[in-house]
Amino acid sequence: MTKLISSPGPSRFDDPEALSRLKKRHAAERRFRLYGQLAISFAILFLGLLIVSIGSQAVSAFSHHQVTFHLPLNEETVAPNGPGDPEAVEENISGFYQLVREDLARTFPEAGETPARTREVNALVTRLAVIPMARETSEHLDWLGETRRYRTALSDDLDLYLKGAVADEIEISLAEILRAEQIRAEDSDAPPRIRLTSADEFASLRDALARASALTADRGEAGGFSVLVQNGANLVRLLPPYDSQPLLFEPMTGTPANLAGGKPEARIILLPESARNVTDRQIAWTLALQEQGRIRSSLNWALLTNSDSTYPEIAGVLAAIVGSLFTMFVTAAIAIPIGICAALYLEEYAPKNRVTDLIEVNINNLAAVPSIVFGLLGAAVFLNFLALPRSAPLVGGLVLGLLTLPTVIIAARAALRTVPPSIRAAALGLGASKTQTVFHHVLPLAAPGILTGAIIGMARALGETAPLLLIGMVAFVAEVPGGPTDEATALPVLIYKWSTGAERAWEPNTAAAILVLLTFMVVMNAVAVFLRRRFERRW
Amino acid sequence: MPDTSSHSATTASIATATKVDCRNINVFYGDKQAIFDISMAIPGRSVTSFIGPSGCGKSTFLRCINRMNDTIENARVEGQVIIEGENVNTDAVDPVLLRSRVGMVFQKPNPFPKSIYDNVAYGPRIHGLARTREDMDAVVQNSLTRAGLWEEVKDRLGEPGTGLSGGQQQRLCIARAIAVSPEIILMDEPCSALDPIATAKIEELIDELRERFCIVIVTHSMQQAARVSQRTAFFHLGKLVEFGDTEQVFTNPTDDRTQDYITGRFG
Amino acid sequence: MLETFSQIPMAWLAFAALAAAGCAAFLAGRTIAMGIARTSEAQLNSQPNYHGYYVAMWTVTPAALLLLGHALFGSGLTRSLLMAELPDGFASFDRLQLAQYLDRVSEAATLDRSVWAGEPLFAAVTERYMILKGGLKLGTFLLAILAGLAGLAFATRRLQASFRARHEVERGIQLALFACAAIAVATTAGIVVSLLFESIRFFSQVPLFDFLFGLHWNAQTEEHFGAIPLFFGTFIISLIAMCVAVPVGLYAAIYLSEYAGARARAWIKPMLEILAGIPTVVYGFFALLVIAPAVRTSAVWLNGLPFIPDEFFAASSTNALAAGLVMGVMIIPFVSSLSDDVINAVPQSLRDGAFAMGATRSETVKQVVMPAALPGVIASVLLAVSRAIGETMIVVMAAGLRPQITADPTAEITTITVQIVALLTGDSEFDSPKTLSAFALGFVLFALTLVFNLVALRVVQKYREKYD
Repeated sequence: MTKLISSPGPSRFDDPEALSRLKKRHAAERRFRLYGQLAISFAILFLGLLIVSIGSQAVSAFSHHQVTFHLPLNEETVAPNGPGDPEAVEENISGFYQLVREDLARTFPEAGETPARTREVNALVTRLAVIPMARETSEHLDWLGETRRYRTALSDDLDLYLKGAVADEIEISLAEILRAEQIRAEDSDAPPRIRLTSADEFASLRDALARASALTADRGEAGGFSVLVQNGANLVRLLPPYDSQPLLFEPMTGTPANLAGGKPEARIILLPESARNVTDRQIAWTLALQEQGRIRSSLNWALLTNSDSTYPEIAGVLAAIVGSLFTMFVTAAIAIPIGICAALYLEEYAPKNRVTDLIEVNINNLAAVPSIVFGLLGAAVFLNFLALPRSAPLVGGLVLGLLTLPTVIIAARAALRTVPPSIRAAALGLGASKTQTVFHHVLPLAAPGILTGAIIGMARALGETAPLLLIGMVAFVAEVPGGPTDEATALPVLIYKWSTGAERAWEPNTAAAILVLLTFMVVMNAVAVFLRRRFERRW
Repeated sequence: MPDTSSHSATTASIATATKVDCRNINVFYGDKQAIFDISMAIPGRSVTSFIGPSGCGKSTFLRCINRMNDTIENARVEGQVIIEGENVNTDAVDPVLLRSRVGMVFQKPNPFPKSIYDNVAYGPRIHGLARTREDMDAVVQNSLTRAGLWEEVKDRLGEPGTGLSGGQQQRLCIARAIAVSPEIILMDEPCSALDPIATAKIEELIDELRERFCIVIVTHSMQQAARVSQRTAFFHLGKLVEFGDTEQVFTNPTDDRTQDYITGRFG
Repeated sequence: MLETFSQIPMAWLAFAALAAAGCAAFLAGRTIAMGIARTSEAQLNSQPNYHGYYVAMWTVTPAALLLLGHALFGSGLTRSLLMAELPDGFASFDRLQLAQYLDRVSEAATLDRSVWAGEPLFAAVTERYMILKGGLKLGTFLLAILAGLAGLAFATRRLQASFRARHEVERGIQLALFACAAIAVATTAGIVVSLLFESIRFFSQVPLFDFLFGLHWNAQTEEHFGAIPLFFGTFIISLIAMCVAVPVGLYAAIYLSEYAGARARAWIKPMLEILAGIPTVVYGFFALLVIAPAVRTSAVWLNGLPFIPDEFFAASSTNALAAGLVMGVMIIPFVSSLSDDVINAVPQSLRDGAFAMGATRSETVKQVVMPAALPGVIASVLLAVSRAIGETMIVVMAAGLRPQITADPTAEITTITVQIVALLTGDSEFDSPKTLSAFALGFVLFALTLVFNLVALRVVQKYREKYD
């Protein structure tokens, strides 16, 4: 055994045994390194996926489709109390909606056939979507009697359809249609049927139908799709069975005879009508309106300028933003001054004793207490015991202030600690008192760092949701709050509420609200980073 | 640049054949050059000491021999370090294998936060030098004995190495280094954190170890260099000023700067 | 008169009055001190300004404390005064009805009189409420003025050449700073007391044993209050989260501190910090939008495989796995940043020692750095567990509401925090066991996280001491 020590032996750089052992060790090294890289890639990919999925959802919410109407503003419908009462005009939602309905009925006379169909066409525009229209008119009462042009939001489901979010589609252009003839069935109740004669016997359409059957068969719902043939503003729907000879159609809108000539198109909607929120007829009407140039996509400013609503197409985040601002104002007023004072005490004055130790442990622990526990504190103490108003930014701000306090204290202490003791010694050496030293020298030098920490703490508080739910800030608030004691909701709570909405259109809206929230947070963090860069001092 | 090979030829009585032959070593930290074109032939089975003022590059040069500079980001070493005829300062040579042949002891004792036994056994274990528990026990005992620590710790091998006194910790680090039976041991100011009695013990140990190992020691203390080493190199501002027999360097230096330094005029 | 007074917003008024009084008192104190300096031969002990500050301090503080007390306790006090006066007919109201009635009263009191003119009883109560409220407000205001004057008188009489005004002011400042630090303690005390108080009320109606060991939870119907399914759900989701967060966070920290170059670190660290900065409601939405459907689809696909029995996985649209996975990602930065700190705190000399022995980087990490950093790493994991247990929004949105004990990660599952939110959103009545059970759950949550936090903080502190 002593030989190991006594004789180092020959060079071991090429000892085969050592080399094979080394190979294994290096393989282990590479594996280990790979694990590290995998871990980091996982985290970053996840972050990327999160941003991309939310961003792509949000993009569709930032634009929306609007319908143009030319509405005759007759006084009895629009201004029931006469032209002297603009408030009555502004609140006259049913009057304006009636104008919209009448216009739709004029545009699509076939919709008047049954009450069900009338409801179908009226669903193109939500009742409350006329609010901006009413507001605009109430400011221009001289418009009464004229016919004015208005734009209003298309219903959320059809908006999603136009954005391609409802169903996959196959679109094909057809050969010229030579003739369209109406066939009346013997049974007079049955709907009229249309037989079209195509230049190529619908060869391309039949190909597409075969493809659509195959696609839907994969999903286990063979034949579960609809086919619309369009030429200009005239649309017909293919009647099943889709392999009949000849192909028969039923009229949707427009004049079937006008299908002949021109460049007809067909679209196959690969989802059965029963599985969507929009009917084939509504799609046909929407396409006809689009053909007439009455639907266009525009930036959805309403998302920022409107307040909450039960209809996704007119819901916006304004009230929530204002609610969040009030809340943050109270939070900052609580957490920042108290946090700085507490940090000053602990860092500069506190004697080393058990009370101080207790405060320290307590603050460190408080920083790790789940936020929902602060919500419980707010519900029990502020709402139940002190009887402060429910759903108010005041209480939300108090709770978030207490929640943020430990974060601010910890950040402020760290900033105070970076001020070197020599500064304190210099001031004390000139005969300054402890308090003068602290307030004249230490605090100003630590201020940028404290402010940075405080802003980051505020940004975190801005995203807090759970405590606000418990103090009732989840109420439906359609009006912009006027002060910290009014009923209000906050942006993250609005996000939570929207995310639970049943309609599909809430998804892009939620994503858009998230982007608004993240924008605020990014700005706050950017300010903090800027402050740190600009004022950071290296001792 | 002194002709180092002629020196080693004339002092064959003290030093055996060249063990480490450094040729034209340049070291850069980023844009800053720390070592300027140093060549030096270090003999085996003897103690070579590096002296010079702080920041003169002696530690940096020492760390070239076992390529510890590789672990520093943006450090770059140029030139050849030839150990037993093989240039080790190339990508072809694995630093891991190199370091099993070139041990190192640091300025501050740095035992691992493990037991005394595990500290010594760490090297043999990772290099697979002992196959059985008995082999390992023997290696540990042997190394500790050589490091002059066995008698002091044999009853508490399971206790953490960090619980020993400073001098004992340093001897533990030496035992740890010799446990893999390296050919060369580098010591970077091994006594600077120790009291005089512990220092004396380490110096004694170095003197014993020189019979089996090639030892290179960086030291701040000229007395120590004179006491323990056979050859001495004087560094100044990243350059090798003088390299020769210790006696000659201290009694009859060829360069004025060496003269000034050892008489205490600067440094 | 008192009725009108009740409607005046007091906050800004009081604030302005306090500021004005403070300025006036400061000037008065300063002038007096300067007068003393002129007339007496002895030199002033402190600068005249400090005399001013001293007087201002004594004038403003008592008044401010009174007004603050009114702001906090005023409405509660008014209500209890009014309740004591209510006619016997109100005895039939239970607490919730009474509270709602009083809410209506206090809201009506801020409005125009014509609003409630129709209901004579309601009008009478409201009038009385307004009188009480106005009286209290006016009383407080007068008392505050008196207190301010008393403070002013006390302070000005103490001013003299030898008076150590600066010392007194600094003592006052120090006391104020201490009070601020004490607010943090008061918060903890408030949490403990309120949770404990409501929990005790809950346990007077539901036996503690049933709560802690019961297997059925159905608080909405106020029948079953066995919290085991909730504890189980919390445990499972935290477990899934930790299975993601610990390996990923730890390896990320090791890679960052031991392998990554300075430039890679400069990019990767902020990325991980972004993960920590994203609000949990956003994670919740992401879980609901992307991960939960993906889990469901995978589970349905797995159910279709030949060797897996049909319906083996519940494939619920909100499920434990989605919530746990996303929560795990959220927690990664908590594990990685704290672990990164502790790994960096391991002295470089230990790494050098290992490298010099011929250890590879991974051997150095595994055999030297990690054992040395272990206590800190454990602490970071404990803090992460505490964070997972208390996390709310992700589970509220993605985990579901069904209390059940199941090992199926694709099933709907519920946690302590989800139930607290479910029980306390909407109108809540503070007497029912349903509402009170939320506080009992909150107490369990607080106690659980407290233990994890305290142990972790203690370990970290010990670790810091070792390497400082």
